[in-house]
Amino acid sequence: MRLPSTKPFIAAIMAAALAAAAPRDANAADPAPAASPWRIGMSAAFSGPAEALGAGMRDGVLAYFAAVNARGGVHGRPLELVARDDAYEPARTAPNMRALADEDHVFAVIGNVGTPTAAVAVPIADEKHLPLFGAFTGAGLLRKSPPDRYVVNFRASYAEETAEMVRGLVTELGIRPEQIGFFTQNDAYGDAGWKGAVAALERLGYADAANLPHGRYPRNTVDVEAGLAELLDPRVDVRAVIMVGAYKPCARFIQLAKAYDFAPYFLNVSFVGSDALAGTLGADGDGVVITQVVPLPDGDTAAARELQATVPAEKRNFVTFEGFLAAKAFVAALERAGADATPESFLDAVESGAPFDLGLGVEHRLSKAEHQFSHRVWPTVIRGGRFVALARWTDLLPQESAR
Amino acid sequence: MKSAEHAIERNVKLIAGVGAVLCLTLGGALVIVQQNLGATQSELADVVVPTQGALEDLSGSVGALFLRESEIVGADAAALPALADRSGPVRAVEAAEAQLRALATRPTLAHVEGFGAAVSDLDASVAAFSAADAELFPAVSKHRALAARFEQNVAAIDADLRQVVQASGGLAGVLRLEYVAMLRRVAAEIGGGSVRAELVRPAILGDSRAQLAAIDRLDAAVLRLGMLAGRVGLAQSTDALNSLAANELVQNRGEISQELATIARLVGDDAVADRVAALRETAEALAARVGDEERPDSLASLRRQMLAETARVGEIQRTAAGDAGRVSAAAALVRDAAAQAARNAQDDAEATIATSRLVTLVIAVIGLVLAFIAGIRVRSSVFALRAQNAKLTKLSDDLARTNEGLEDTVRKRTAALQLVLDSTGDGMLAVGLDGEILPERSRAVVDWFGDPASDERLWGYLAPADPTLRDSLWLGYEQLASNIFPFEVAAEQAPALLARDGRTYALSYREVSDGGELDRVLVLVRDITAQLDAERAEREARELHVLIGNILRDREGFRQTVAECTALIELARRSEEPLVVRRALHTIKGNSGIMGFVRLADEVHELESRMADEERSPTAEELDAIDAIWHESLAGIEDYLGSSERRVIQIDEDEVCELLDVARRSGAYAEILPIVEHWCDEPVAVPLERLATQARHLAKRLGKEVDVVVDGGHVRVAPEPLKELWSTMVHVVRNALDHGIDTADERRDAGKSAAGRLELTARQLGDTLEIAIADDGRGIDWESVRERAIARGLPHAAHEHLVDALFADGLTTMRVATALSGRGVGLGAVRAACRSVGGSVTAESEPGRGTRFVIRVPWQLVAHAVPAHAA
Repeated sequence: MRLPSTKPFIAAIMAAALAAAAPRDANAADPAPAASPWRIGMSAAFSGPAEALGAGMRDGVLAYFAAVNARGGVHGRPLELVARDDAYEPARTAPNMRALADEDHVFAVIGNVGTPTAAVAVPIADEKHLPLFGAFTGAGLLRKSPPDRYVVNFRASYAEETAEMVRGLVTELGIRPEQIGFFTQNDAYGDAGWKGAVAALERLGYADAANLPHGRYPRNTVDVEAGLAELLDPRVDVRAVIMVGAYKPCARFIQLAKAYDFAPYFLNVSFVGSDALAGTLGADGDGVVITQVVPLPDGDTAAARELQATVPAEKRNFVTFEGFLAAKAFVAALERAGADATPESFLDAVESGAPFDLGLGVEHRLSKAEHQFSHRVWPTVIRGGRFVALARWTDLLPQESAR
Repeated sequence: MKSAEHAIERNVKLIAGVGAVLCLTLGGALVIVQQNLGATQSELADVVVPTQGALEDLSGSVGALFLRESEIVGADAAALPALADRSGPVRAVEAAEAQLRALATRPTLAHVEGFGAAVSDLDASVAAFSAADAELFPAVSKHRALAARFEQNVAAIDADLRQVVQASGGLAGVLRLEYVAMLRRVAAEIGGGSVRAELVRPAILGDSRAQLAAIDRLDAAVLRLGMLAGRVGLAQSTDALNSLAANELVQNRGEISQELATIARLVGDDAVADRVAALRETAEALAARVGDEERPDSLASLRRQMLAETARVGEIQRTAAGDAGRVSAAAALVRDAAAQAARNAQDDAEATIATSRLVTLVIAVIGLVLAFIAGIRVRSSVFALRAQNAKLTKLSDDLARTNEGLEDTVRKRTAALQLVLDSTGDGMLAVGLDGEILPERSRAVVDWFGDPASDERLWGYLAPADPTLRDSLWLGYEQLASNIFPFEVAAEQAPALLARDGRTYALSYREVSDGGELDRVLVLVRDITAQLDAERAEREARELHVLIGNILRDREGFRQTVAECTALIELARRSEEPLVVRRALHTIKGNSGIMGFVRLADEVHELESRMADEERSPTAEELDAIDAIWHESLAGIEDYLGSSERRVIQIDEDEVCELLDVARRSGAYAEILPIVEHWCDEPVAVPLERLATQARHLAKRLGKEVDVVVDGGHVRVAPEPLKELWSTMVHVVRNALDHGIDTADERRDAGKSAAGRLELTARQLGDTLEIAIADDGRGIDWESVRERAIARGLPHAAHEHLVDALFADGLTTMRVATALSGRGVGLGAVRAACRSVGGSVTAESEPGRGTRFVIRVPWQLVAHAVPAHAA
């Protein structure tokens, strides 16, 4: 009778000791800030095949935060980023998100990477009333109508990217819809891009878009053969492949296709990781199209110039730029929310309808019905290992004729 | 007496003895009962209660062990080590058992049937439970270890399985791509119109399709392997596991190796061959790890061991539960036995109590019977004592009374002798309470009244001839002797005068009491005849003195009044009219009082009182007596009064001077005559002054201070016509003084001068003579007059009626008549006198301010009444 009564007691003491120890350690790591910092969380891939994406986002965000902290922080409070690695595995995203909310007590989460990871992050953000800001994904599940209160996006959606692809292919290059094929990752990310394209095709009057050739590959593998086999089927004549995947399988797919004398237009969405893709493809990359949700990092937009002034050239790329812009949008909203902002007042400031200017040449007005800063898509093409803005889709034609 | 006392003493001793024996016996019984009950109580406390406590401990410890078992079974790997130690409860069980075994040797419990057997049974079942319990923890620990390894293997297999699936999928993709590329080339040839045989042949006859089919089957087999692994993990019985191992697992393993062999056989590309070989190795190892029962750490064999351990744990738990049930059954037996012991002890105690009650009852009954008998005997002895006591008391009383009688007699004798010796001069006689004349009496009594006859009573002895006096003596003495009133009061009321044989005796009474109680009365008799005679003579002399004074003051007035009184007495004796008689007597009383005839006034007053009390007219004898007194009174003053018929005319100095003036001036006869003629008339001031004198007398008698003022206004009138009127006017004066003028105290309270004022005035007013008598007293109480008028049936509505009623005969507002006034007769007489000369009388009065009576007489009546002999 005595044993059960003492056991939970001891357990309770131990739990209390652990609970007390955890925040002390976290505080001890802080460089003694002048005022209590804005603590912002992040859960992204800092290992595994998508490592470059997570690292890029983190670099962009940290670069902007550092710039803001250098000029005194937001309302006198410095910004602090707590980043946790989920290796692009949803199973690790959930504990990361809970730890950020319950242990790190972050104000918001910024720059998460990936769609399958977002599928578990969004419910947790809703549950914890934790703003999920500028995630590196264009999936529809972060863009519901009306939007989730706690989800705020910076970038255009995959649907908007693939819709731009379809528009360029069909209306500018004159490709028939049935000549379009898909190569997608076998998960929510791939589905998101594919569905956006299908919807765009249907809007153009092509009802059978769902039955277009569609090859898939398992996430985190480079087993692209089965998918390529689908597109090589002699019964179809695929002239353009819309690719929704990671850079490694996509690069291998392009190279393997070329090995089998299969040379359609290859079109990738921004998530692919442009520089990584271009680097992996090397000479095979010429003519590969990648749609971007940010302008060229080395371009001459105001935002790009700010990036150039802040981030060294070797780290400057589309992903860094997106992280940079997401951080900029976040800071702008936080400035507006005030010194004693809470997550709720922050979201109220976001939804206020007042215009934000991020240096992209447009004003962004958000509301309860609009939780996305940018709807713009910038198509680019790899020429000689470098990215070139694709001003007109017909710019692709000479290259094909050259082949 | 002695015998009764002895009996009482004996019986009281007996009762005390019986009581002592009873108390001792009861006390002894109580001690025995208490000892018995105490022994039972301590046996219960020492044996039964600890037994129950030990059983409680034992049950609690076994329960704790049992609870620990379920905790062990339910605990996860982390919590399990903490449950390894079972020494605490085990020690508690052993301690409880040791206590039980020790208690079992106690006689109280050892005598209970089956107790020893129950304790042995309990021992055995506890030992069995403990043995089973000891096995549980190792078994569960082993099961947990197995489960942990199993989980690890499952996770590893799961990862490998995914890898295999991925590898086979990748391989399938490679093969499919090859095949599609080949078909694509064929299709291109077909599009060109001619198809080369070396292109088409491998597509149709080559191994590509077979490879694709094999790789598809391999995919399915690998997927099935994953499913089978899951089923192995979930297998709940060895039977199910046997079935899986013997059928599905063996079959699946065969399929996988067969398909892989097929693919390896068909593949041409080296790179692909390497991948197939790697896949083959991985897949076969995987299948072995899942299903090879010869490997101790394969999923199937681990699961088998786990199932065995689970079964063993269940067995141990069941055994332990059974043993625990036996423990509690045995404990119940022991508890029953202990309860039986307690009941035995209680039965013993109850038996003891019942016995002690019976013994107590018997002793008490015996005691009561003995006490009752003794009590009866004591009672009879007490009765005898009480009878003797009563007899003695009576004797003692008699003795005392005899003594007291003797003393009393001696005392009375002594007192009587003393009295006789002391009272030789006065009469003195002792009278018994019943009026009996006692022997003690003085000589004077015998001298005066003779010797009393025997049995003569006081009243008969003192007043043998006067029945009235006798009766009043009798009544007075009865009251005296009855002792109802205080003696002094009764003596005051008893007759004090005794007239006998021409002598007068004064009687007084003395109390002779004996021991506070009236015993007899001493009657003192004194001869006061001589004393009375002396007093009367003195009174007469004094009266004569007053009368002579009055005569000297106003001889004419006095003579007139005397004549008037004589006439009135005659009138009273002659008249048949009661009212006339009463008026006459009343006037006599007033006049005689004013003149100083005190005896007559007293006599008339007494007569009037008798007449009023008895409501009758005076008898002839009474009137004769009045007449006799009157003549007797007159006889004494006749010498001083002189001739009664001679008239004196009084002339003032003024009048003489007036005459002298006239005579000196002219001396004409005609002028002198009327003046002298007028002198024959009487000045009104004279009778007024006479009234004033009377008024002053009255005031003095009444003790009132009154200023009497006279104003005759130099009016002279013929005296004769108003003679009667003047005499009745004394009533008005009397009324004014007696009732009108208030006392000095009353006047002070009313804010008036202390002295009252009475005005007597007369004047000629045309042909009327007006005489007024006014006082400043209380005034007339008209309301009282009205009440009297109503009572007598007179008119009373208007003020004139009340004035009339005032002059009506018999109306008085005074409750008690006085010697001077108040009979209601006087004013009637005034009115009658006025009317008889043709005049009138009125009264004006204001309460508190005074009363004014006005008498009006025609002047004609009184003018120039020259005396007959002068005319």
